[in-house]
Amino acid sequence: MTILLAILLFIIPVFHVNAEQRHTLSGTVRDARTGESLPGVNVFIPRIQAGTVTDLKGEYSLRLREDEYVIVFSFIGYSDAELKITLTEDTQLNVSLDNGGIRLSEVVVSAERSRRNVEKTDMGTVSLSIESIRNIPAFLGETDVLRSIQLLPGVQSAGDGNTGFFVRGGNADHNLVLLDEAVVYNASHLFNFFSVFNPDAVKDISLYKGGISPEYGGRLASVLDVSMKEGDLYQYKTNGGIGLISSRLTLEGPIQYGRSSFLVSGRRTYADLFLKLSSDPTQRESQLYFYDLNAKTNYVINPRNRISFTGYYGKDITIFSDLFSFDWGNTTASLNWNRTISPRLSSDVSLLYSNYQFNIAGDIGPSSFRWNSTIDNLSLKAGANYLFADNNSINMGVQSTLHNLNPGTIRAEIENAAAATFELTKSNALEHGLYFEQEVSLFNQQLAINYGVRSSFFQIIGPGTQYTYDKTDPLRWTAKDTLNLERGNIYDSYHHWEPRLSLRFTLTENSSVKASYNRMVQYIQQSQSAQSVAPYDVWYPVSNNIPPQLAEQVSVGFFRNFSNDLIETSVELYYKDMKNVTDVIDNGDILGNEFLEAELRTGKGWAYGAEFLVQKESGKLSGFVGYTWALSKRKIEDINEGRAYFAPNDRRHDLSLSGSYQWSSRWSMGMSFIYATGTAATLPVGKLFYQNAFAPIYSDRNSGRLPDYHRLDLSVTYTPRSRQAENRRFKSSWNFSVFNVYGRVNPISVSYAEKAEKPGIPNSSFFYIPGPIPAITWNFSF
Amino acid sequence: MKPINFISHIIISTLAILFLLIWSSCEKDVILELADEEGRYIIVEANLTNDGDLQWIRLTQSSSYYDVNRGIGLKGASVIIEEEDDLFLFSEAVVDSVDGFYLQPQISKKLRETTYRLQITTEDQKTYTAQSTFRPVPELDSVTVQLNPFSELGIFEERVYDIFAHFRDLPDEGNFYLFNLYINNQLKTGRPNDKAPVSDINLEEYVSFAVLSVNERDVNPGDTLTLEIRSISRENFNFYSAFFFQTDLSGNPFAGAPPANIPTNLSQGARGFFQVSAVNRKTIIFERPRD
Repeated sequence: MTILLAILLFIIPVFHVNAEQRHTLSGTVRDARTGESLPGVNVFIPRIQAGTVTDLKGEYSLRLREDEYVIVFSFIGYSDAELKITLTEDTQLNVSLDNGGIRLSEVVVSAERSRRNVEKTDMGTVSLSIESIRNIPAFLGETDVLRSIQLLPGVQSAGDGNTGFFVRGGNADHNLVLLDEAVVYNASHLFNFFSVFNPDAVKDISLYKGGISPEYGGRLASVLDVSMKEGDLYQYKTNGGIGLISSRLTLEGPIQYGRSSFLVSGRRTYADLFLKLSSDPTQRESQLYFYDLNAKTNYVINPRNRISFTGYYGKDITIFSDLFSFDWGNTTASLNWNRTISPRLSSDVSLLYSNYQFNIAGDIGPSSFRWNSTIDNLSLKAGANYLFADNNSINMGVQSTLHNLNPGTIRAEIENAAAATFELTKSNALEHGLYFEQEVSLFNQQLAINYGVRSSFFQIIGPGTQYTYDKTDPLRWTAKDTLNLERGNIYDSYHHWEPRLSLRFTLTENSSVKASYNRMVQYIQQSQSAQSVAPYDVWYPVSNNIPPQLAEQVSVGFFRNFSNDLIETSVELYYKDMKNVTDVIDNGDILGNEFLEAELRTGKGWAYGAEFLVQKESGKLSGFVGYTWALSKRKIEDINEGRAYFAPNDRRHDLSLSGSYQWSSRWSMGMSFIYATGTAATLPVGKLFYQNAFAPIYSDRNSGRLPDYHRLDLSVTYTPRSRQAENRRFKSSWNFSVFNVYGRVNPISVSYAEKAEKPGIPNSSFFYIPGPIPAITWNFSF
Repeated sequence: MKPINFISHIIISTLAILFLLIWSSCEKDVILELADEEGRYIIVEANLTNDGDLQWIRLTQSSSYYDVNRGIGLKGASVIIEEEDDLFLFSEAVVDSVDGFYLQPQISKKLRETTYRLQITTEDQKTYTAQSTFRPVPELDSVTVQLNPFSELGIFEERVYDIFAHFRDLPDEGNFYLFNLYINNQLKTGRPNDKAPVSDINLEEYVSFAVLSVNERDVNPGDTLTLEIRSISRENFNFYSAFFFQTDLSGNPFAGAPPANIPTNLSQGARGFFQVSAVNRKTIIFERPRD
């Protein structure tokens, strides 16, 4: 690693030419009213046709010759700011943009708009603001971040009504989900119907499907970066909503005027309160709800130093009388210190903590059990960004994480007969990542290169247990040796280089081609017990039996904007090759099994596809149309007799339409429509009859298809005009939505159970979410 | 595959009940478009015991999934079971006007602790084989009946009685048993999912617990209840576990396993199972237990 760094540092000055008489112009762009930093703002100098875009922290930086400039800051939904400066030395220029009272429909499209998708080297990346997510009709009136990204090309839902998702042929656990940099292990509430992200607390989301920066690692398929809103630095605000199944309330405001702020947001579902009205005592004593709490504080120590703290706590509770109780939840905390050391050098240090746990207790008949499981990690991340010139920057850093994986202690009892306490294999591990990337543009900015590498290390440390299996019978491994790992000792170490490269070549002013390559390595993964991710699926690390998963992806894309950048279009092709992907053997027993590894096999996977996107982000009519053609396969020894088979996420065609139309200042409507090829499924090729009962016979795994998936959702938002129009702070709106308008039966799974009323008759049935489901939500802010 | 441990059995049955409480209203019967065909596989039902005179094996052919039949009998096969020193020929028969049966009158009395090999040769000269080892079975000390503690809570529509077995487990862990229930000598647990496969992993040395249950409407005071215990192999235990998962629990998003073939001990792609078992029974007269 050190050799590579030395070489890279040696290369950098080569690009660093002609730097004399140049100065750095840098600063942060913020929302004038809330003080929130604005990422993605176009910073442009018309005279020399040069510019940049603010980063995720709203910061920008340009290297310019000594001269006079007019700089234009523009951002969708905000008034442009034009500032004149005379640059004679390194200058800090902070800008506040006014959003003019959120009159989105009245924004005049100016000549210079964001050309981000054409100009940046990023590909396979989609960013959505929470405003555009809100325009998508919501399930049961609950705006949902994860449900909205499932509409994007290359992203598929793990099932109807399910917030789990697959990216470019990857498994559900191949996605790194981050909330202000902290890992979220299980991003779902209420058995996957809702995601853990409260829309009132979210600022924006970015999903990286390819060309992933070396700053990120540890998962094969994607990074979903969710950033939480910062509290308003200047005024107190309240907003919230009352819906059919939940209510939300958010408070924000300054702690110290203009310097520090807070935001606290909470929500709770209350559908279970209706259970109290039930005549059935079991239902009356049952509970089914979730709540979550988000908090963030920001402190601007001085223009060069900012500190922020984000905390999340959420819990799901399911109780059925005294028979059964099940609770699970995530906790995350991020402490971040952002420092601008000089106009060209900035640093970021974060301390991150994530925790996920579940507790299940059941008392059914004479048997009972208790299962408690936890996974957590503590991570320290430090990075620096250095700008040599406006066309040459580097980003480097290091991250170390301590993982504690405790799949659980299970105590089970059958009255008078048996009792057992199982300690499922506990593991501890250290994960380190060193990363470096450089972005340079050459030939008058026509070519931009972003290259870098991540060096990842993973170390299993004691205490823990390792098993060696007797594999004589390939379908039934039995543990033959146990190794107890001693506390503090390092046992297995893994190391991988993960090179990443992105290129952009500008063809014309509004079109470019891009290409990228990335290698990703994953060291911890999640068992998948049912057909989608369940709250009780446990995470387990690599071991002597489970090697690290590797993915290599190449992609190329063509990006073109039309109508003065009002319409963005792109086509991306990708090919992904995966090694050591895991799957469960036929009839594998993976629930609460201390020999989980014996039920898993690893092998090859590959996926390829083409993604088309047409997007219009502003104007009365906005939205996008996405289409994906994709294929995803696996080939694993001992599964499907070693023959290749379709991955459960294989869907050949996937079309999605999402749009919103601003009818007037009071009425707007939204729609989304999805059509996708049916899920690859193992379907019967015959029936056996044995001991007076029938059962299906199958041939190849996932060789059949469930019926095609399609669904239309609609919503209408009514914003009543307040009486003293401009001056009143209180604003409210009504949202009416219908999920699955024409009541399509989209199967989640198929049952072959015999029906009591039809004994001996072969039967098949779908489990599905019945539609249409209407909902109404009242939102307010003041 | 290891035997489904009793912990996951408990967890899964609990999750399955949870699922039914939440989801039962969101199910719809459908007819799938299937690439299925008739007669692709042969199915062997061969459960032989050391009790009774006549032992039978039934051979059937697989049918299209939605075809309503009780197995298409396979005629004209030669069926042999052999051990080191002995060989038993089965002869084809039609029983209660159902074909595909093959009968053997002597093997039951001669079963001993050794490995038996089944060989089936069909008319088109395809051969299928399987092996099973005869193992002893513990004697049932007693059988008792108790009211299921949850039938009072209104979970079940009617009262349910738990049938308790009391017996000393055979030495060493790794014994597998199958329980059947007869009421007035009529088998009540004729289908795979009605039977109770039990693994002794984590069981006490003296076993005393509810293996099966019976609904109030199915039993009257004075009826005879006969509990039967059979010795089975680990693979046969897995067969019954998988049968339950792949039929009654199939599709359950919380507890269901992905669809897969029920495991078999037969070669050449035949389905079903061959098991030789020792049997022990205990009969009691049913009386309603006090609440």
